[in-house]
Amino acid sequence: MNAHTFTQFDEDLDYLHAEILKMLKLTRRNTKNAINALLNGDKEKAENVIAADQIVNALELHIDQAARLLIVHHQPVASDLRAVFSALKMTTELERISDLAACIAKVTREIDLTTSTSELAIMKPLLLNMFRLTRESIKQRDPGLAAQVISYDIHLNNSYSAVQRVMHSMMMENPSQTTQCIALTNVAKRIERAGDHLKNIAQMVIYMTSGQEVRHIDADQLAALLAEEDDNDET
Amino acid sequence: MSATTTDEEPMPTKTTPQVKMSVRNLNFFYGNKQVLFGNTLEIDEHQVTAFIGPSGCGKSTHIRTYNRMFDLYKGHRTEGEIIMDGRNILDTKESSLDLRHHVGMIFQKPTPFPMSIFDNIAYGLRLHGSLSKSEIEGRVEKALVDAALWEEVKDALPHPGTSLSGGQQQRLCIARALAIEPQVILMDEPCSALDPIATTKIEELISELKGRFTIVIVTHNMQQAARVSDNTAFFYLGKLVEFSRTDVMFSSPVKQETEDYIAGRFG
Repeated sequence: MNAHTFTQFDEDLDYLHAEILKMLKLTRRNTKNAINALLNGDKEKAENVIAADQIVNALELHIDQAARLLIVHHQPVASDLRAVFSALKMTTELERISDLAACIAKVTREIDLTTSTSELAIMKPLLLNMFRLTRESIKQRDPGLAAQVISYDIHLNNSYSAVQRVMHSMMMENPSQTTQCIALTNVAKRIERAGDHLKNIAQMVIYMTSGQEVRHIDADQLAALLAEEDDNDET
Repeated sequence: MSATTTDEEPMPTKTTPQVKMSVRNLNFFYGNKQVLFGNTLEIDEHQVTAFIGPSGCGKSTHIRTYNRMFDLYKGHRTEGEIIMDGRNILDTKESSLDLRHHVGMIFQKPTPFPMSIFDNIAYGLRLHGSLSKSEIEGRVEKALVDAALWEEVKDALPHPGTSLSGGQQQRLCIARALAIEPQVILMDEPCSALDPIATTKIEELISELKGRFTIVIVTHNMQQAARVSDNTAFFYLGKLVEFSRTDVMFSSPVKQETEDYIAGRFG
């Protein structure tokens, strides 16, 4: 794509892009640390996650302000408009993921787990893989990678269902574990929700790069739209 | 008496605009030099259509074919068709005076005649028809009301048109065009010589007028095209590159040239 005649416009867009990647990196770190703290019963690490959530909150405000100024200064249209619009949506999603990480850390702070967390541990690499794919899709502005994030979310959803089933069984077998099992189910739900937010970000990557609105459509419709996009590129 | 009732809300229906002008394969020549190349598009009735593009791309030349302004200059000629109400307006057998009655034009700079505010509007009425004095007075007032100028000039009708501010002069010119009740109004950069407040008033006026008139506007101001128009055509080097709904063009244009132009990546 050609550079803007007014070079400051490109610099401001690049800055916004870099700040989104920075926020994604911090959010991923918070989420990873929150799950690790829970699995290892590391309360100090959990406190660090709760504190670090404030940094993500501040970054959200900072990026929102940068996007507002970019709109005021340059009145973006077309792909520039989509980039700014998507950035604003992404910051909201990332901030919520970081909130979920803080919630998981608060569980670690409040409960000394004696129940097995092996089922929950399975969810961690799935979520981190979604983070990796999301980061690459933003970095490379690649709608194909973003589509992978969207389709990958099903693995996390299935894993959450598995955790639920295991926790139900454990509660029936040993009612004294009910409090811990409910807490762990809630943690699993938050990990699953984090995956949903990453999926939303991936949908914005597709909108940003191709102009295709893919929210509220199913996987088959998404595949058809992306195939159409590829055909347009070739012709 | 029986009546069927239903809890269902009636579905809102979206009416598809009728085509007012159909431009087919339009070429234009200044002597031997061709400046428009096979332009084909349709102007929807009671909608605002914006023409955008860099200087020299042919958008002003294109809009001036809609009321055959080129007839006034030697050596200017067109090829192709512009069908309006079933007739090809480029056909030399069609009267250009009649055509300009139906297709009014507003220019870049306000062009009030060196006469009173009243006469600026009455002049065209006297030229186009045989109206009584009271009918002319009624039409002058209506045109000034329609152009959102009446309240500002109703006590100054005998004053020279040139005594008004730039924005008022432009609205006077719009009133002059409206007075003869055209079907289509062409505007060639109507706000380029106006300050932001006067520009806002003209833009608001355009939105109000489109209910009764078909409006085509040439503009260099992207935001103005995005704000006031329903459809936008992008011209480059005399060719129509892209023509689509304005909201689509400014959010997801199809052609890379359009994207580069509207996003300021040209040159």
